[in-house]
Amino acid sequence: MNNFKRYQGKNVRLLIYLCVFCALLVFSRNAHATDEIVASQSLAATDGVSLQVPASNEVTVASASKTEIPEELKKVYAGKDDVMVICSHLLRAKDLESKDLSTDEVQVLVMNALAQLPIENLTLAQVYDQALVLGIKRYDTSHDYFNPKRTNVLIAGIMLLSFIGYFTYHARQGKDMFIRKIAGLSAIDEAVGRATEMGKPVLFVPGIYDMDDIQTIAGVSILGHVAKKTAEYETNLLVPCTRSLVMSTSQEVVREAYLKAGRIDSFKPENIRYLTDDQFGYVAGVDGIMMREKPAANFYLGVFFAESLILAETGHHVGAIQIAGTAMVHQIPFFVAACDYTLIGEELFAASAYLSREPMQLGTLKGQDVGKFLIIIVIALGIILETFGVTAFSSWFTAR
Amino acid sequence: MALFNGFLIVFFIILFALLIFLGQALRTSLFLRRKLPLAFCFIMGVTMIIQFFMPQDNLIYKEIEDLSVNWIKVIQSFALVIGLISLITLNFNKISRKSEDWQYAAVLLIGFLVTSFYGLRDGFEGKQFDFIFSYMYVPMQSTMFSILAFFVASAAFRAFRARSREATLLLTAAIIVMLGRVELGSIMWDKVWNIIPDGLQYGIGIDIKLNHYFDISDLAQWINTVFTTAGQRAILLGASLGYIAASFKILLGIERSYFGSEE
Repeated sequence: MNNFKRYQGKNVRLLIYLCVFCALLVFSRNAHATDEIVASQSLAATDGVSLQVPASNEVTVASASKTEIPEELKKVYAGKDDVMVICSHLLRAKDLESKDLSTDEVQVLVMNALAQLPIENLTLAQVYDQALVLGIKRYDTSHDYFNPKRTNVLIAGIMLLSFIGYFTYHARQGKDMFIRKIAGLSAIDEAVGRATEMGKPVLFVPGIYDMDDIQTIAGVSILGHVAKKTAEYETNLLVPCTRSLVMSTSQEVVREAYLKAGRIDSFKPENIRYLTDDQFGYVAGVDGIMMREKPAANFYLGVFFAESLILAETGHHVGAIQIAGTAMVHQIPFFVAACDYTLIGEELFAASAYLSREPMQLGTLKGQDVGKFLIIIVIALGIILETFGVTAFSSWFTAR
Repeated sequence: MALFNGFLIVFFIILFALLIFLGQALRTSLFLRRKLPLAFCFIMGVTMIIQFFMPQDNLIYKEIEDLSVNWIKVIQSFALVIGLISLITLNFNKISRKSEDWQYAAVLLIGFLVTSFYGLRDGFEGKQFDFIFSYMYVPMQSTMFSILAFFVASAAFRAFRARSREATLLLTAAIIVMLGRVELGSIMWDKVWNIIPDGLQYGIGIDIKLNHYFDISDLAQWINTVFTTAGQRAILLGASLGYIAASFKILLGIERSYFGSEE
């Protein structure tokens, strides 16, 4: 518990340092941007140019007017029907693409452009060009530090983190946290025990993604527990990897587990090997290992794609007990069909907390559950409101 | 030029010496082993979160993006060297010790050396390299992928045995989806409808035949879009929350098991 407090204290300090660093960065950028505008304004004043628009905007406006006009817009404006044509082109315009504008917002731009232009002999191209210029001016966010369209994500994230923080705090105070039984994780000891009895090795496949994916990290966390058991039972553990970084991390994790179990002499670094970065080359390699070594227990924990069923079926043919876990929704049915136990989605991420029983980790699980409960309420509310034609609520949840 | 090359060689010797020193220090120093990676992880994680909430045309956003992409490339290149060293050493040892199935290791090493030789000499456009890619690599990859079809059949055979109520339900849904996906299914569906007497083919008070509403392909589509999508979204929601919670644990150093030790 003291360790947790110590780490927590350090993290808070780190957070403060980072905030100060970010604030300094933001202020320095702001100052830089303000200097640029002031300089451009003074330059414009000496040249007798209007001071209404900052220099940065003038540059983008100039670039917009140089944009090639689509063929469809080279006709005279005839009425309301043409507004939608211009809108569809504006939504695809390169200069506005990154702004992620809605149809309504683009329509407003077109109407404003129409209001500013003389209606006689007006071509669609002129309206398009004017709307583009207005859009670039109005939605210029190059000097903003927050994207308001992601406010919903920020609020949802803060709420979820608050729940996690609250339950983590309570867990640190010693409050008992209940965690339901996860069959796949409880079966790990049974699988390693079976391999020991049969005198055959254990095969662990950490998926085909690199260490930058949370699923791979979750898989490697479980590898630590499996390695501890294989060290205690003196069973061979094979870990073929598809990424070099995963191999290095796995070697370190397994070495530490063997060290902890007091069996460092049994640790074989050559058993944790790199095969290839190629998806099907890796599958061929792992299948070859399975056919030659005939492992008694297979673990597939991490990110999997088309190779999931090839691996699981080969494992089934060699008669191994198989435990799989992934959050890839399209691969879960394959694992369910071919493996003895499957960790579905979130169960993979809960593994570390389940196996270690650390109060702080259990606290995060509890916070996650409250978040899930809140989502259920929001979904139910959304269904009711949508049924009665109220769309504002559900549109607020649109991710951008 | 020779002087420049000389400097480059000296630079790399110093760099490797530093790396060896750092490697040794990593094994002994708790700060370098645990605290420094945790601090890096936290700072980089929070930076990426801040970047997510910035507008895409912000200059800092672009700078962070470029910097992170470049760093990922550099780290991946170094990591590949580690993997290759492991691969070559392991297989070379296997051959020199004449271990069981050492012939496979020999084939692997020969393949690796030949492909690397032609790749480095002629580039991707080289005739020999192209031959290896088109007539060896691609067919082998296709072979592995095509095995999937047979495995789907064998896994489906085991999964769809009607041993319980749930398994029977699964079997029924699977048959409908399978029939709905092939032309034969629609032909069979029409034949079944034709067996039913004409009078029963119409609903009460409706002039249109019922099979106009109930086509097997529509039914398969309905199972996919309603039941399957609902189930997948439920799993995705749970998994996404798990992603966020796990990221939070890693950022704050609560989850440290991927370092190899909980302490």
